Amino acid sequence: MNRGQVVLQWTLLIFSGLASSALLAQKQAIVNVTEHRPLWPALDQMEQAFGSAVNYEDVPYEHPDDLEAVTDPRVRAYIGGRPSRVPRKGTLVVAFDDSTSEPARVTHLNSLLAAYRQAGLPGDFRVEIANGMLYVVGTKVKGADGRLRDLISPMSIRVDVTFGRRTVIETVALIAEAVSKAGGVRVLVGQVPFAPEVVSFEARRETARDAIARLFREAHPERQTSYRMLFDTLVSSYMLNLNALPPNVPSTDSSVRVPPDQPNGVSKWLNPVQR
Amino acid sequence: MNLLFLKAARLGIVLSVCAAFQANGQIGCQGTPSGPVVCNDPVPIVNLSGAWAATGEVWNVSASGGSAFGTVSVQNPAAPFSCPTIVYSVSGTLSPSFQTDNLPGFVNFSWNASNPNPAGACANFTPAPSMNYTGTVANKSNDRATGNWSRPLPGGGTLTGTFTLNKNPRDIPTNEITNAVGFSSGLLETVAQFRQQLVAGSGSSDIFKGRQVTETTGTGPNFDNCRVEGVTSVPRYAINNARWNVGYYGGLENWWVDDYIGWNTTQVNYYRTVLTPQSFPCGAQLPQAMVIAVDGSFGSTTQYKAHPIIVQLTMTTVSSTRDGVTQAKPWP
Repeated sequence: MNRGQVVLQWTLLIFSGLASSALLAQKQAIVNVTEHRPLWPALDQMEQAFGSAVNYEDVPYEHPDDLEAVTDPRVRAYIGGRPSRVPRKGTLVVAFDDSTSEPARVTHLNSLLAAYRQAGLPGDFRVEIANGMLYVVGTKVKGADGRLRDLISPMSIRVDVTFGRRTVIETVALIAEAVSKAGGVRVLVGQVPFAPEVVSFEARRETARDAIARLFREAHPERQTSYRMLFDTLVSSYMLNLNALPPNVPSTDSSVRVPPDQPNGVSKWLNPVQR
Repeated sequence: MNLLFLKAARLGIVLSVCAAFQANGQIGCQGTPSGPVVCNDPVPIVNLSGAWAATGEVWNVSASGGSAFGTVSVQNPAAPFSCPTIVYSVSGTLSPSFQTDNLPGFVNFSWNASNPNPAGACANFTPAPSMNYTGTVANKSNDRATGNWSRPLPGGGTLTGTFTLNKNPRDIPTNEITNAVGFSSGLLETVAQFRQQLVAGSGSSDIFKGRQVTETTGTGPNFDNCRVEGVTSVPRYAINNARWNVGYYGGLENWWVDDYIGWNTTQVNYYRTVLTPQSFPCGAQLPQAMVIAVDGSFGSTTQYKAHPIIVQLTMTTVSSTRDGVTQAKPWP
C-alpha cells in the first residue's frame, strides 16, 4: 500500500473575531489512509501539521485475527520458517486542524484513536503527554488465546546506560539493547538521523522513553525529534525509527536598519563648510 | 536467511542506521557533559573580501589574513548639485573568533577610511577627512556587518553612530565538488562518506569558511523500491534537512564534512532477509538540493546546487552515489 494514499485535503475555516471583527484562519486537514499500520502514516501527517513531535509505540501483533498474509511478491513467503504476515490492513478517516494548543492536539489524537477503534483495527492505544511531547502508546493487544491483554510498552522499561561519550546511534543502540534484555523483546534500531554526532550520556533507572527524549534534546536542542516504535511481524521485533522534524523556519533577521545620518540630516560623511 | 542477521538477532538486538542516512552534520554542536547545548556554528569567518553596501556607500575591500585594504565610495548626498562621488582609501584589521564548539563563530573588524578624493568642498559641504567602522560579522551567512562608526568633528570632538552593511553581491558557490572518502566503519561500514568542496567564483579558497549549508529535497525522481510500503518497518529513504558548518576543519576552509549516504549493515541485512532474491538490485533515489545561508545568521537560504542521491543494494554489494560520484563495494 502506498502511503501516498494518505490524502491530505486542506480547507480553510474562517472564524470571525468578536470585538475586532478580525478574521483568524485555521487550516483543517483530513487524513484518509488505508494501511497495514494506519496509525503510522496518520501520525506522520498529524505531526507534520502540528509542527511538533508525536511519538508512536506500536503493539506486538500476534493473534491470527490481527494479521494477514503478505501478498507483495517482493517479500519472501516464509521468513525464519514462518509464513510472512503483517498487521491487518485498515482505513482511517479523520479530520483535524493545525491547532497549536496541546489540549486541542490531544483531542485530535483521541479522535484518531476513536476512529481506529471504530474501524475494529488491531490492539488499542492511548495518548500520553511527557517530556514536552505527545505519545500514542499501545495498551492492549489480542493474545494468542483470543482475548485482549494489557500491555506495558517496552519504552516504559527502566534502563541503565553507563556514562560515556558515544555517537548518538551507539547510545540509542545501548538503550534498545537494555530494553531488549529487560523486556524480552528485540528492539531493532532503525532510522537514526544523528549518527556521526557524539554526546556524553548516561541513564540510571530511567524509562527508555525518557532517556530517548533526553538524548534527543542533547543531540539536537534546536530540532524536534520523534520516534516510531513499530512492531515488525516479519522478524518478530520492534523497529525503533527516529525522525528529525524539519527545522523551524527562522524569522527574518530584523537587524537591518537604515544607517542614521547626523541629527541635522546631513550625511555623516560630510561637514558643512564653515563661513 | 542472512546468517549475520540471524546471529545478531540471537543476541537480542539488531542495529541499524537510517534508510536515508543523511546525517545531521552539525559538527561543533555535540552535547557536553554539562547537558543540553545551543547548537551554534562555531566556525569563525576569516575572509570578508567583497563589496559591503549601505545606503549611499559601498566598501570594496580585500580583507583576509588579519588585514583589510580597499576603497569606500560615498555618493555625495549634496545632490541636486551633482557633486562627484567621494572615494576614500581603506585600511584596517579583522580578528576572527577562536573556534569553540557550541559557541557561535564571528569576525570582528575595524576599517578606517581616509584620504577622500575629491577632498574639496562641493555644494557647501566637504568630505569628512576620515571615518572609522568597527563591527562584527556573524557567521552562517557571513553577509551582514553591524557596528559603530566614528569620525572627528572639525572643531574637535567625535561624531558617532551605528551602521549595518550588507554584502552585495553575496558569495554563492558557483559549484560544489563531491569527493569520495570511502566507506565508514562498524555499523556504518555499508555507508559511504562524501566530502564536499565549495567553489567560489572569485577563486578564493576560504571565502565560505563560517557559512552553513543545508540539504533539502529538490525536484526529480524520488523513489525507494527496497521498501515495501506497509510491510517493511523501515521508513522511506528521505532527506533529513541536515546542516553542515563549512570550514570546521583547518585546511579545509571551503569544505564541509561529510555527507553519509547508504543503508547501514543491519538495514542491509534486514532487506536481504525479508526480500526475495529476485527483488535485487533494489535502491532509492532522491533529489538533493543544497542551500546556503544568506541574509544574516537567522535569515533565509538560497539554493546553489541540486543533484540526485542514489543508494543501491544487491545480495552481495552496496553502493552509494552523490552527484555522479559512486562508491561501491562487496558486502559482507
